[in-house]
Amino acid sequence: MTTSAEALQLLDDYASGVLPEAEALAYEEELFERAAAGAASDALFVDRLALLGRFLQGRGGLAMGSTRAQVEALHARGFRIHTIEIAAGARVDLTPFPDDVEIVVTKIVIDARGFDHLEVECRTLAGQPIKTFRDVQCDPEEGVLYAVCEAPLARLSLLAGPVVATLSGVRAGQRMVIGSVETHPTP
Amino acid sequence: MVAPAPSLPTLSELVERAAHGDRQAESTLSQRFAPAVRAFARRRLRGVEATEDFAHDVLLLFVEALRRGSVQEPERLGGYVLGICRKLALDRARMNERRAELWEQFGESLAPLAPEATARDCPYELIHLEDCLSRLSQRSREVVRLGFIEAQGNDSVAQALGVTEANARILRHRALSSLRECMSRTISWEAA
Repeated sequence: MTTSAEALQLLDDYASGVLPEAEALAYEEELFERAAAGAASDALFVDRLALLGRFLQGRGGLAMGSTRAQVEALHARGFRIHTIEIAAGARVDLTPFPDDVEIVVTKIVIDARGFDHLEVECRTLAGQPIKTFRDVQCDPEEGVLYAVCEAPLARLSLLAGPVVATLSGVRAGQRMVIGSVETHPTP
Repeated sequence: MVAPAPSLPTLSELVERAAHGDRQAESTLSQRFAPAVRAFARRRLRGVEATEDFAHDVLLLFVEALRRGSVQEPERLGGYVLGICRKLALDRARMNERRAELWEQFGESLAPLAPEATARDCPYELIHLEDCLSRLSQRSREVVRLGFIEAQGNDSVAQALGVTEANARILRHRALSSLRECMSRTISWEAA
């Protein structure tokens, strides 16, 4: 199901009250007709964003980098958590984790305090970019990076094969590498 | 965000089945209208709890009407549900008394609409969204959190980010466009 950027923007203007009342009344007539036909993909997109986002928010999935206290709070709530601890500069073998794990916490032992705009860039061993985590937060007291993610996404990342993750940050106006880790999934 | 269903029953069939006690038909119809009902609520209300309460009230009344066989013109079902929304928006105080009773009677039909159920039913969309959110800037993530997940208005988003309401609107649109574009591709780890 696809929806256009324009349709999403119009829906957002409607929902946020920007659309004038007369236009909004006509818009909602049309919206509900499309809903009846199963064709309100714009509303479905925003609705899924809200519902799934709320689900992730309650499990630490919205934060790009958590604090130790936040991770401990997830443990206290009873989530089944698998923790992967990696020291900066290390090469580690990642073994599959149990099927009932709900959340994976990757702890990168590094000191990123004093840097702004932290980023984690993930590449294959051949140097192909996979993804970049932007504006990551480290624990303000330890400088350690705690990355929280849903277990299925962590499992998917294992399928990408060996990965080099490089943490960089901005200090004194210059972006510099703070450290990197290399992960190798094993069967 | 989701693949189209191969062959959906018609509205008339769903309404007919719902009138004869088919809970699955009720659920299908409720899920079909839920996003539009929430959009209606987000325009008028602020905050997750208020919009969810309103949406539940509308859909409970809708399910009640389906079960009673009150929906006479399935081809005008969109207008019918919108009519419920508008009536309810004008009559909130009276509804509060009735809500508890309706929830008790028909609440089970709405279980699939909760965030936990959505996450369970849409596991790929969940991790796709998580993947896409991690690629946004901190400011865009904050816009998504405040504007869409917590259903805050442009005024609240603007205040939180220290921008004008007009800029908050633009930031909301950009965040939506970025997520839409990202969600139209595969998860980054799959492409590696």
